[in-house]
Amino acid sequence: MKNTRITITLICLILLLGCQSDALIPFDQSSLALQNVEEQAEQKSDQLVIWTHENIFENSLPIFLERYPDLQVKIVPKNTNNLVEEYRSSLMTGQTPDLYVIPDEVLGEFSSIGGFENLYQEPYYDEKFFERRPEGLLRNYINREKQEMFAMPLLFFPYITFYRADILAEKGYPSDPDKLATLLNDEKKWMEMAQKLEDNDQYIIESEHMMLDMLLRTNYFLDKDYNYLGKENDFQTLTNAAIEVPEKGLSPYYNIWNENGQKAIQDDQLVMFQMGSYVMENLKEWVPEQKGKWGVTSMPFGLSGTDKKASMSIAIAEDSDNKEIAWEFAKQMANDMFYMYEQAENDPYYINNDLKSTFWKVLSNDTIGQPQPVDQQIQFIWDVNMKEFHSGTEVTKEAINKIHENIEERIKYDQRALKQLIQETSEQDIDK
Amino acid sequence: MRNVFTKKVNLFIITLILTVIAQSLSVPLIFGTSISIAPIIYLASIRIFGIRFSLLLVVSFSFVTYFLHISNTLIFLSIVEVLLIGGLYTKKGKDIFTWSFAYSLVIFLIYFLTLLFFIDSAVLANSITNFLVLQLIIALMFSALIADILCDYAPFIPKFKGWFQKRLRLHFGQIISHILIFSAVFPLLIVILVTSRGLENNMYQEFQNQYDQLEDRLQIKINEMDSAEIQNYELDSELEKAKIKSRLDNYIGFSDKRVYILDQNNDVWLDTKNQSIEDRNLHHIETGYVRDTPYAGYIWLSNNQQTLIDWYQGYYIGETSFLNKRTFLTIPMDNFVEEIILELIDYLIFVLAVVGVSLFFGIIVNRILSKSFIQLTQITSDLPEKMERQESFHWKETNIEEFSRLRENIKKVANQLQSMFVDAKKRNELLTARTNQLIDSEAKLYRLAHYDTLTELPNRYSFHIDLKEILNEKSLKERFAIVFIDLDKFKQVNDTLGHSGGDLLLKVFSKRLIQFEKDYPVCFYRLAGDEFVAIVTLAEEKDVQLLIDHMMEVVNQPLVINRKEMTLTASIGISFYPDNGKTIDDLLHYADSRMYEQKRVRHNQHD
Repeated sequence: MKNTRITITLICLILLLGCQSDALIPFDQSSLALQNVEEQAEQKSDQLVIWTHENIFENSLPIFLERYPDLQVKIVPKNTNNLVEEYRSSLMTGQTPDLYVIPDEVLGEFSSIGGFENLYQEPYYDEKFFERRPEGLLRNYINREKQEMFAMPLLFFPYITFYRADILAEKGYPSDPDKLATLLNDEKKWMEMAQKLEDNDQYIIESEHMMLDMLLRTNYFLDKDYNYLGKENDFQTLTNAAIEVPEKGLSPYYNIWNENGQKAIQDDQLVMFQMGSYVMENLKEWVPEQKGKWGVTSMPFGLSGTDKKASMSIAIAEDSDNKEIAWEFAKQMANDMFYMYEQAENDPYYINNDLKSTFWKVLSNDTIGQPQPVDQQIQFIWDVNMKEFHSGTEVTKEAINKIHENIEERIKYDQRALKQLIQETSEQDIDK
Repeated sequence: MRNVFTKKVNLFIITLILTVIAQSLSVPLIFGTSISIAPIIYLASIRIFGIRFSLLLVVSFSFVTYFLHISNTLIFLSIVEVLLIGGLYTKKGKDIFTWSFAYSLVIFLIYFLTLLFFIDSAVLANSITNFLVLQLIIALMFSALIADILCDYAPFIPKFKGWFQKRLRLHFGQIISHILIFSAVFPLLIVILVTSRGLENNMYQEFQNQYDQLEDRLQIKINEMDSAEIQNYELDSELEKAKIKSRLDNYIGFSDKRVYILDQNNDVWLDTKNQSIEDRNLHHIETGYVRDTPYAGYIWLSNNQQTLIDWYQGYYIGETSFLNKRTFLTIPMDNFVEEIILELIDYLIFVLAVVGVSLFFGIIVNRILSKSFIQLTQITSDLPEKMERQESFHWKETNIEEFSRLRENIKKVANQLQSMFVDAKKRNELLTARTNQLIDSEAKLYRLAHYDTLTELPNRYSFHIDLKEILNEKSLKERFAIVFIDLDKFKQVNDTLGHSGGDLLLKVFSKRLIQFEKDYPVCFYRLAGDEFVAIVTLAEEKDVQLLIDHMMEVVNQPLVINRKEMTLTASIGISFYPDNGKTIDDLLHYADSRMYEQKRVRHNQHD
C-alpha cells in the first residue's frame, strides 16, 4: 500500500512536469519561420516573348533564329501611352515576357524596382560585351554600390550638333568638328557666334524652347545621390543661354520638323541645330544639295547624351523561363544596333573624316544625372511649363527659377527619403 | 547488509527524483530565473543523510537537470554550495543557514574583487551580474533557512521521526529566530514574485503598445498610398522603400527598435537600421529560439538555456504585414531587462537588509531570552543550596518585565520556602532529637527487657523467646541441647564476699561465658541468681559434652575477687531436644533435674 502511494505520487509529480509552460521552440518551428521560397526550376519554353513599343528587330531577327532554329520569337507590340503601366502590372503579377524593351524616357520608372535580372552579375556579366561600349553610355544603368544593372542600352541616338561647316568657315569659325566642339563648349563664344551670325540673319539654334528641349531629352535632373541638378552649372549654362537668346533676339523660332525649319535650312538661315543622330538621314532628304556642307559634332556647353525619346533599353524579366536565350537575344540585338556607331563609316554627306570618333566621343561623355524614380514628376512639371513657353510665355530667369522651385517642392519629401536611404547605406558600407 | 544497501540506493533514487521534480517545478521569477525548492532538499540532506550522500545527490541532480534542459549551466554551482556548506557543517556543526551566510559572504567578496579588477572587460551590465549574485545568495540563504527549519522540527512530527537518528532539543531563542526571519523574509519574497510578474507584464504590455503603434502607422501609410505607390511598393521600389523607411524612422526615433520588411523570397527588403547590401537575411535570428508572450509577438533568445544573460541579449519579435510583405518588429530587451532588474535589485537588497536585521534582532532576542532563561535557570539552581545555607536571595535585575516579575515571584517563593525550610529544619532537628531519645529509650527498654543488667547476658525472657523461636524452626528436625548451669556454692561465696563480691563474681563468670560464646555454637542466658542456661546447637551428645568440658575449663579457671583467689565450679544439666522434651518447660525441667542430680552426686562425693 505504501509503495503504491509513493508510486502514484511520483507519477503525478512527473505528469506535472508536462504541464510546465513557457517552453522555447526553435525559431524555424514557430509561426515566424522564414520558409525558404522554393526556387521553381526554370521551365524552358520554346518561345521567347519580347514586349516592345517599337519593333526594331526585323533585320536582326533572322540571324538570331539561325542560331536557335527551334525557338519561336514572339514580339508583342505595346502602346507607348500605357506601356509603363502594363510593364509594371506584369512585373507585379509575374505574367512577364522574357524581355522588356523600355523607352529611355521612362527608364526612371523601372530604375529602382525589382523584377529584372541583374545584368552586372553572373551569368550575364560579359566583360567583353560591356567593354565595347563607352562608359558614359552604360553609366545610367549601373548602380556600382549595389553592383546592379537592371537594363542595358539597346538602341540609342546621341544628341549631336549639326552645323554648316562652310558657312561657319566663312565667318571665321572652325569647321573641324573637334575645334568647333571646343568653341561651342564656351558659352560666351557661343553667344558671340550666335550674335555674329544673327547679324546675317543666320541662326545657330531653332529656338530657346528647342534648347530647353535638348536639355530635357538628353539629361536627367537627379544624380545618383538624388541631388537635384537643375541649378547646377551644366544646366544653368544652357538655361542661362536659353534665357539670353530671346532677350538678344537670337531665337528664330524654327522647327526643323516642319516647313519653316526645313526652309530655313534650305535658305542657309538655320546653320546649326542640335538633334538626335537619326536626323543625319533626314537632313539628306531635306537638303540633298547641301551635301558636303554639313558637319556633326558634340552638343554645346559640354553637354552630352542620347535622345531619350528615341532611344530604348532592354531588360530581362526575373520570371523569364528563357533567361539564357533572352540574354543572347539582347546581346545580339544590342550589338547589331551598336554597330551603327562602332563601325560607323564616314558619310560623304558630312564633312566629318572620322564619324566613328565623333560618335565615340559624344557617347563617352557622361550625361548629367541618372534615371531616377521621380523623373516623371520632374518631367511633368517641365512639360507643363514647356507648353506654356510654347504658348508664348517668356523664358525668363524667374520662370526657370519657378520651375526649379516647383520641382524641388514637389520632390523634396521623396528626395529627402531617398537621400537619407543613400546616406545610411553608404555610412554603413564605410563602417564595414 | 545487502538489504541496508538496497534501502539506501532506493532512498537515494527517490530523493534524486524528488529533487529533479522540485527543480522542474521551480516558481519562475523573471527572465529565466526561478525560485526552486530543490536546494532545500539537497541542503537538508546534508543534515539528514550526511555530506557524502548529499554530494552525490547534488552531482547527479545537476547533470540530470542540465541534460534534460530543465536547468542551465549555473546549476553546477550547487555542487560547490554543497561541498563548502556541507563541509563546514560537518566539521564545525551549527546549522546550514550559518554556513550559507558565510558562503554568501565569500561569494560577495569574490564578486566584488572580480568587478574591481576586471570591470573594464565586463561585457554585460553590472546590474545583470549584480542581480544574479543577489538572487543566488538570497535563494540559497532562504533555502538553507527552510532546510534548517525542516531538520529542526521534522523530528518532532511522528511520521518523520524515523528519518532522524537523533532528536536535538530546540532552544527557545532558536525558535524565535526562525519565526522572525521567516515571517520577515517570506512575505517579501512573495512581494518580489508578484512585483516581478507585474513588471514583466508591463514590459510585454509595452511591447504590445509598440507593436500596435507600428500597425497603426503602417495602416495610416497604406491608407495614404495611392495605386502608383502601392504598385511601387509591390515592385520593391527604392523610392517607396525610402518613403516607408522615413515613416518608420519617425516611429523608431532614437530607440533600439528595428523593423524588417521582407520581400517575397524572405530576404530583407527594408531594415530600418541596416541598409547594407550584404546583410539581406535574418540568419542571426533564424538560429535562435522563441516563446510566446501573453500578447501578440514572441520573445527571441539566442539559445534555449533561458538564462538572464540570454534574456538581456534577447529580442521581442512581433510580426505583422505591410500589404503583401511580412514585417517584423524587433525590440532589443536589454534596456527593459536592465530597468526591471534594477528595480528588483532594490527589492533584493531590501530582502537582504531585512534578513540581516531580522537575523540581528533574532540574535539579540535570542541573547536576551537566553540570558533571561539562564538567569532563571541559575535562580532555580541556586535555590536549594541557598535555602540549605539559609543565605539571602539576591539575583541580578532584568529589564524584561515578565522575567522581572517572575524573578520577584520566585524570590518571594524562595524566601517563603526558606523560612519554611528553616522552620522545618528546626522541627526536624527537634523531631530527630526526640526520635533519637525515643530510640535510645527503646534501646534501653529493650536492653532492660532482654538482658540481665549485671551480667549483660540475655535474660530469662530472651531465653524463652529464643528457645520458642528455635523450637518453631526446628520443631521436627534438628537436635539441639539445653545446658542448665548452676554455680556451685554461690551462696557461700556471696556471703563471704558480700553482695558486691557476688555480683563481681557473676560478672567475671559471665564475661567468660560471653568470650566462650564467640568460638562455639552456644548461647548463654542468665535465668536468675546463679542459674544460667545455654542453648547449644549441636546434635551429638559427645559434641555437646566436649563443649561443656571446654566450657568448664574456662569456668574453672581461677579468678580474683576482692583480692581473694578462688575457683569456680558449676553443675551442669543437659537436655536434648527432642529426646528429653519438646517444650521449653520439659527441656528445662529435664536439664534442671539433671543438674540437681549432678549437684547431689558431687555433694555426696565431697562428703
